Amino acid sequence: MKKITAVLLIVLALIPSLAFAGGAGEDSSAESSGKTVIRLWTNDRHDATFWTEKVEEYNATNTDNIELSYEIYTDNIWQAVDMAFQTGEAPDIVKYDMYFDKYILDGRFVDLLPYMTDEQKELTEAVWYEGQNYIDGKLYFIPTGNTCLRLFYNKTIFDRLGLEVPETLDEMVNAAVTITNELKGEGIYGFACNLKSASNGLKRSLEPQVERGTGLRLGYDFGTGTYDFTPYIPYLEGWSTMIQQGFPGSESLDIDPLRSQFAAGKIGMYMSYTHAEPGVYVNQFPMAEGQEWGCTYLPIDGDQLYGQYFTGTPGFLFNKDGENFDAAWKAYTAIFLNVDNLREHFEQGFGISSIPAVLETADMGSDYVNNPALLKADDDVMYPKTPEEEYAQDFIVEGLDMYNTFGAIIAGQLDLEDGIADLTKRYNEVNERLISQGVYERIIYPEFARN
Amino acid sequence: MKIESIKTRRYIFLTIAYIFAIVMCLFTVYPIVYTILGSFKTNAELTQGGSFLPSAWHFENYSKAFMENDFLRYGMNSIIVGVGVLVLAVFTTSTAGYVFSRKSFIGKKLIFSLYGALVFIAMGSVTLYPTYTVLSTLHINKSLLGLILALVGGQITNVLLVSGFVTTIPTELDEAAIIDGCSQYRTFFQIIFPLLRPILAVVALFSFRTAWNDYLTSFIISIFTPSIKTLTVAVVQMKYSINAAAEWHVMLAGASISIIPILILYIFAHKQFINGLTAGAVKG
Amino acid sequence: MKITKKRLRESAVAYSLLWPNLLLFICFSLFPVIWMLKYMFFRYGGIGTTETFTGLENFMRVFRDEIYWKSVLNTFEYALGKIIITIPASFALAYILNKKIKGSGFFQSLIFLPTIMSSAVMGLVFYLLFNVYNGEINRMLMGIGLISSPINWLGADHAMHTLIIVAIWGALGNYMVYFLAGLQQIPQEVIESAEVDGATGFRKLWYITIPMMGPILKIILMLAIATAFNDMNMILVLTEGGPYNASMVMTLYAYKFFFPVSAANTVVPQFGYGAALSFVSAIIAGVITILFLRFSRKMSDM
Repeated sequence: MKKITAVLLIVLALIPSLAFAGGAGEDSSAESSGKTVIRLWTNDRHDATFWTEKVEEYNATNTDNIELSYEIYTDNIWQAVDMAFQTGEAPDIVKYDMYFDKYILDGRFVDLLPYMTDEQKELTEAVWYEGQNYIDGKLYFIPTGNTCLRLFYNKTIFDRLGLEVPETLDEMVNAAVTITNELKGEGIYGFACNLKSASNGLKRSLEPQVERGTGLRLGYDFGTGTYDFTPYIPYLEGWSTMIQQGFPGSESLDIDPLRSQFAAGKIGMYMSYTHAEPGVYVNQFPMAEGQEWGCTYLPIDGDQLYGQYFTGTPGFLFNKDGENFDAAWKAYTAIFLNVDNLREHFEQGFGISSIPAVLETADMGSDYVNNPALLKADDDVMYPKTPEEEYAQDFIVEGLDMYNTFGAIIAGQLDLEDGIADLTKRYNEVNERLISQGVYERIIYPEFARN
Repeated sequence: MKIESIKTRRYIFLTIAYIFAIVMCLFTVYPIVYTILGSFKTNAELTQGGSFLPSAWHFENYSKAFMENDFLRYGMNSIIVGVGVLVLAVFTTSTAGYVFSRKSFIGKKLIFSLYGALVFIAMGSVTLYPTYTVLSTLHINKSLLGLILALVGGQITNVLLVSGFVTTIPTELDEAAIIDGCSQYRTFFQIIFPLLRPILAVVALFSFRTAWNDYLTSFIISIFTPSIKTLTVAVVQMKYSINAAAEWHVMLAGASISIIPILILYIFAHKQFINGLTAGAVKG
Repeated sequence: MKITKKRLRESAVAYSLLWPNLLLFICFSLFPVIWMLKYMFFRYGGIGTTETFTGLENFMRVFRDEIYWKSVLNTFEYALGKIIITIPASFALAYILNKKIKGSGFFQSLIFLPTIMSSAVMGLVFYLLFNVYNGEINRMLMGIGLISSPINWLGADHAMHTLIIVAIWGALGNYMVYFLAGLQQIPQEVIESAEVDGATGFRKLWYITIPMMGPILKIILMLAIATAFNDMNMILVLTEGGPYNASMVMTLYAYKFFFPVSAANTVVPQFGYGAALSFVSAIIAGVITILFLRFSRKMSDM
């Protein structure tokens, strides 16, 4: 027993040294090699292979002794950054997300303009979006690409059944139902959505579709400065039909399993981002033999077209407290602001470029030629922020949020009319309360008003 | 009663017992066998269905898991964390259990009632964030040590368990030792500690298992220091990795990698696992 | 008691042995409670936001929050479903395997196996097994003709049942071993004297074994209740509480306010509200435990 006690004590004494080996060891090894290590955090997975290769190439060849560590986070990048800021260990570079707006306002990121050469300014001027990345004359990140929401459909299935590519909501619903009815026996269904998380699924599908058809943004009418979810009703009815007669288990699907089933030819239609899908079906889930995908604009109810939101992506934020901003900027510009890299990125289908110099010289791949809808169109617009986005900390709606309400309605768990009326009421209550409390003034943008 | 009928009864009982036991065994073992066999299959076999056994044994799933997902490092982390938690849990619960059972000291009432109060409170997920705050205040949030300490935690249940066990040891033993001139510490470490072995074995097994399998705490703490991820966290996160949906086979290989070490330990020490737990539960 | 020199010395010795555990207790058990007790009165969104004292506002919201109360009901359903099946099944197993039948040790080892597995990792595996479009379970059931079309195991109607099945899978072995311990504690003489009196098989089980197990059963049930109320790893990995909160349990619901699982743009952490939810949940779990203790005391008084 003495022996055991002795062993216990020795192990106990060793733990600290063992334990610190994990975290601290890394830093010291990096320092001893004399390299300046720059940490970049991103959650982009679809083009990870592309950028990892470019980063490795840069790390191997650059003469400034810079090592960029390209770290891919999953869905928890937001929390990771929160924690990192809390302990003063935030990465030098982090991919922009709207969640980080609070840090931009807090002055935690670098204004890039003073560091940019005239050449770089000229290159990127087209993507300085007032109020988004360009705020009060300061530029915080450079979204070199863009992503829009589109309907992706399986051409093979559509051709086989002689279906037209849908342009209206009704046509889409009919196509979805037809596919399911005709091909269910083969395990092929008309429509699917990654509804495991209703907010993740619907913000990339139903929401932009409704925007395009109604001009509402997240239920908000910029003309009146109030919320109104009533125009969502026809869409929710259509969705309800499509999901309930669609691919089984949409409510427990993540996007990647959905894509793998789409690639296998089991799904007729789904909606997703233009920047990711072309690359996905080349690298992640090659389409099954004989299956071909197509891409078209989101079908709407009626013929009045409104703007549909698009996002500038990827953009990178630079930590103000980072010790090596110069090195970080150097590495960033050499890799991510490099026209050749950006062109290659675009040509290989890893993202849709927003940089004119890239678009003009790029060799459009067949994906883009066959599916012009992949590119940003004039009615893809950048909306101003709704109260819920702009004042996220204060704008707390109790109960089911809009996406989860929609999800429950689509699944038939909640009454359509009641659910929507209640939703409108709850959002407006918060909006009016915050206005009367003086948190903000009613947010109105006449140019985004619904007619 | 006739011997015949007793025999028949016993026969019927045995038949039912065996059927029940076998069904339960199939139920418990199936997912594990599925995982391990699945880790040798191709992705197509898994997602499109195939035979129970892999059509060919694809060992490369494992090399893929090790090479592309850094599992060697996470495996080491898991071992360090598991052993560290085990040792610290055994050490801290034995001393605390002893003190609570044997000593009267200033503040005992307060401290003991705090332990007693918290043992009944199911805190759930609220502890995660403050735990992280403590670690970052102490600047150990980036190291395995921080993870180990957080996983050891207060050990309230185990302390009470050990304390109850100490009570069953006659006080004459320590009194005799002290009369013999043993210091208080020697009395504990040389007389009492060895006698605690059965209950400490339970504490050890429990805490190792908990640490090895823990997901939430390890996940939250390693969110921004990926290098201290444990195997469990790494495996679960594969679900969100670049190729998750296309690589069920690699994911199952990962799951197997996290299962197999503890499985091997179990195969060699299953009697100790079960008997240890039994002995502990009885005497505790 | 007076503070004498001897008592001081004794205390010093006591604390010198106690401090490692006490320190960990304070940091990781007590501090979170204090943290919760503070923030449940605040609105706080984490670093980069301001703390605002809001009084009882968070609690008013808890009582208005229908999803939370649904998650409370779900927790009850989950705990009840898990316990009602696990306890008898594991007792039956323990009873059978305590009979020293052939292969008893082997059976024990196999049934205990799931308890050494990580529930999070197995959650991943169960997702593969149960998913509706190509899960192994559906394929098997359809293969042997038990069902004609796939069951949507993780859909709104069945998610909770699936979670209970998986929970039983994980818990059987643990409780079996507790029961085995209890059975082995029954003095052999009692059984033998009962046998001399002519008690056999079922009567022996019903009149001798089960009553003798009373105290142990009480402890096991306490453990089972506490564990079931705290389970969330498997649920987090398998369903994330969905679809549409059909499998949302109390702890997971609070968790989502600390660490929004699916970070859509509009989701922000709400630590204050999460703390209030946790507090109310702890009270609920506490009340259940106390009620159970009362009830079981009455039972043993009878």
